[in-house]
Amino acid sequence: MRDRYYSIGRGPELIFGVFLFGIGLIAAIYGLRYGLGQLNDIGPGAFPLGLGIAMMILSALAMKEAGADDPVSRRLTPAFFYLPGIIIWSLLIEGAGLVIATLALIVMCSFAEDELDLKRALLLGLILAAVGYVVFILSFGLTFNLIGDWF
Amino acid sequence: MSVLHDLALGFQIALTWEAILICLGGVILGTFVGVLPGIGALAAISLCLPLTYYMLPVHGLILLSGIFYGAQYGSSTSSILLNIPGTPAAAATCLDGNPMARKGRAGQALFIVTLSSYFGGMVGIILLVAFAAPLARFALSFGAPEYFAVMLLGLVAASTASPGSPVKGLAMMVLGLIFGMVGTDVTSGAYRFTLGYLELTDGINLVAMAMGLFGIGEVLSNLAAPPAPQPPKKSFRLREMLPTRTEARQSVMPAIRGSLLGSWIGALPGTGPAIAAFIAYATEKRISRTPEKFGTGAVEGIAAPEAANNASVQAAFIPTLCIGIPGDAVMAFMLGAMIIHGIVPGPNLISEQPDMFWGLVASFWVGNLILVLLTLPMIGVWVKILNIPRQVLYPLIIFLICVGVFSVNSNVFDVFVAVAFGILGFVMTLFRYPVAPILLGYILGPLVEENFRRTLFISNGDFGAFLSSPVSVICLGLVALALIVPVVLAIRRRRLSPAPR
Repeated sequence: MRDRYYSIGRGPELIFGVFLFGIGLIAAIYGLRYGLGQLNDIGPGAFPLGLGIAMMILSALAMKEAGADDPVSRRLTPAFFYLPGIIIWSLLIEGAGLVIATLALIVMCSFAEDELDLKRALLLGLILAAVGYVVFILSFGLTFNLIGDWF
Repeated sequence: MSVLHDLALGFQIALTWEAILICLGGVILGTFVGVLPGIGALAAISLCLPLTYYMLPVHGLILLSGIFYGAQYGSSTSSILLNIPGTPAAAATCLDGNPMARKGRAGQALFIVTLSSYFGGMVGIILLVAFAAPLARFALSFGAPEYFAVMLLGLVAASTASPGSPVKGLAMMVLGLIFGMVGTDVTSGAYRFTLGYLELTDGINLVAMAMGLFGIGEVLSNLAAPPAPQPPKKSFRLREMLPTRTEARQSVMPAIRGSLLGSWIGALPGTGPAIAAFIAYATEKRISRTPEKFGTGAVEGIAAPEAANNASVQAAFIPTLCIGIPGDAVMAFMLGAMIIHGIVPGPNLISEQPDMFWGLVASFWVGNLILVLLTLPMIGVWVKILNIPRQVLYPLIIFLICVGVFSVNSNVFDVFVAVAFGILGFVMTLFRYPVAPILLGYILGPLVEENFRRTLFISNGDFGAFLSSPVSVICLGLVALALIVPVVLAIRRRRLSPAPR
């Protein structure tokens, strides 16, 4: 059930197009606010305004193309485990330290697969934390805590 | 003779033990990511950028460029064995490389590809050595209008020439330019698009952005795609890989033509190794007396594109180092990396920091030689990389990305930025928006704006200043052409095939 492939069609692409259009609109509005300046002394807002307008035109043109190609078939489950995994890693890295953060990340990632192999995930996490310690902390002198301040 | 003197200076730097080791590390890592389909050179280069902060600038650049050209060597392996290009640049190699493998001549294909790559790389480097100084001298006369025009040409050419929709390419380039505006405006000091975050006043962190788009984004799209086929279980022994005499003879001329084509194409703004490889392939097919053999395992069809893409990656350094204007996203990242290291690429680089420039060029020679020695006897090892299960490979890459992004400023904020760009990159690939133009736009954005504003400031608001020199007229003319041609083609296509739906 996990390994479901979704056909990504025209609808979602249009939503993405609207998102891009929105970025263009915001850039243009902020551009007007930042000040356009004079022709011989262009202000900080002129470029954002121009780019915002260009973005709106191009995203509209791109939306006309939406659905022109055959839709791709993709499974979306991995993204919902990998991305939170990264967030969890970054929330844990300062307080809990490299070991726990890495274990949490790798276990999260391993949930993305059909068969959960917890033993392999823990082993991989420990190896990565150890290698990370040797490479990044010992040889490159990065400022990581192996075990964080929480303990 | 001064060139020989300069090269000698370069080799003094490139042949120290430290430099050789760093170069070795770079090309090994490059080959590794090149062999793996879906993970490109940019992800590896951005991963390693934080590590170069702890090195001499020249060593850092040797490492990063080693990854770049090393990836070109590796990328043909999966093209030949799996019919999946390791990087987009090796797509042309699939066309005849995979049929050769299916005929049981994978070893020979890999052998020919490696030697053509080496040859192409050498030609590209010779071109770089020959043209660097004259081009830099020419670029010394560039003022703000010329810089603006050349950069605009690079941006437009790179985003319209890439495969896929030119409109989407241009849209992503503009999006990149907008991301480039984030932070403090250099001219007025105003904060723009910082959304109230202090962390954004210096702009979006280059490493966080590149690792998000190319690292996290690529990992997610690889995981989303159906699993790749496993390579055939086959041992590669050097003696069994030697091509026959006919095959060797057939590949010489295509390799020479491919190298020459590739090195010219690579030096042009906006073109990359992928375009060079396809043009070389098409040229060979056109001039061949047996064009029907192409696509069924013609030796010419792998020698030419591989020579071309390796020549073009070396030649791509010409505009970046000599004018300070990158032609594609990887070179744009290299430019960003140099600026972080306090080096300003441009016409003055060769005269002011000759040891840096020539040391880097000499290291290309060393690196290409290492690559041939490394690739040929060890192809079996590289093929094994394709067997690493994805449940191990992708968590490993994600871990490296986390550590890499965090280490830049010891700042969790950057990791969140990377996640945001990872989502963007993933979603974009779902809808076939090209990712590379964003990075190019992001890096060139501030430079384009600065030169645009400076031009108008100097000319007191007169737009005629943009057309004041032949260089800028030619470049802006080409920009107009690049924008008009796709429109004309689209209209023509619509007229030829009425109402597809």
